[in-house]
Amino acid sequence: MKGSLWAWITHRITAVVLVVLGAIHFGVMHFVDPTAVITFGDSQMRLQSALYLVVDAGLLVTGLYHGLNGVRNIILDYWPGAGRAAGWILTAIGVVAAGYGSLALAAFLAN
Amino acid sequence: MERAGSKPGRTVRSFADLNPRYYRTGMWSHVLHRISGVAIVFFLLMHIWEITSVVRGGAEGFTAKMAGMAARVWVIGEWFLFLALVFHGINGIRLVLLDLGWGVHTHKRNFWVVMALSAVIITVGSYFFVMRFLAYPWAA
Repeated sequence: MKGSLWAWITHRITAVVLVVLGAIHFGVMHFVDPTAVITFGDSQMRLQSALYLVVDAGLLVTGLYHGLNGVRNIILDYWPGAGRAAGWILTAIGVVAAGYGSLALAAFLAN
Repeated sequence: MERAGSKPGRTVRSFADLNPRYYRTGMWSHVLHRISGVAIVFFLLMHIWEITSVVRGGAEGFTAKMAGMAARVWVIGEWFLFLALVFHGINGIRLVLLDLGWGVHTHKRNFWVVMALSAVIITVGSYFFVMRFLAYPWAA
C-alpha cells in the first residue's frame, strides 16, 4: 500500500478508537462528578489504575495522530504541493507533543 | 458542468457553491466536520499544554492550574467542545461506515439521523454542564 493509503486507513482506525476512549474520558471527567475540581491527588489516584493510564496514553497518541493527519488532509485539499513538507512538520509537532504529554503521565506515576 | 450523481440540469458554479445558501446535506456535513475538527485540534494542543503544567510546576502547579480553570468561562468553553466532539464523533461513525459501503444510498437521511442523535446526546449531557456552571464562580 502507498503511504497515503496507510494514512487513510489509520485515520479511520484511530477514529473508531477515539470515539470509544473519548466517550470514556469525557464521561469520567465531566459526568461522573460534574462539580468536582481536579487536583493532582485525584488524577494521580486515577492514573495508578491501568485502565485510566491506557485510556489517557491511548488518547494522547491516537488523538494527536488523528488531529494532525486531519490538518494534513485539509492542507492537501487546498494546497496539495505543500503536503509533503506539511507532513514532516506535523509529524515533528506530533512526536514532540506526544513526548511532552508522556512526561506528564510519567510525573503522575513517579510521585 | 454536471455534478456526479445529481439531477440532470443542476449546474455547479464553482465559487457560488461555496455560499452556504447553496449547501445541501453533503456540504453541511463536510463543512461542519471540518470546523469541528479544527476546533478540536486546537483544543487538544491546549489540553496537552494545560495538563503538562505538572511537568513545569509539579503537583502544586497542576492543582493550582486546575483550580484556576474551575470557572464558568471554562465551563462555557468545555460545553462548546462537547458540541464539537459529539457531532464530529457521530458524523465520523457515519463517514467510516460510508467508506465501508454502508448507507451510501441513504447518506442524506443518515446525516439527519446523525444530527438527531447529536441533539439528544447534547441535550442530556448539557444537564451536567449546567450543574457545573452553577457550582463554579465566573472566574476562579
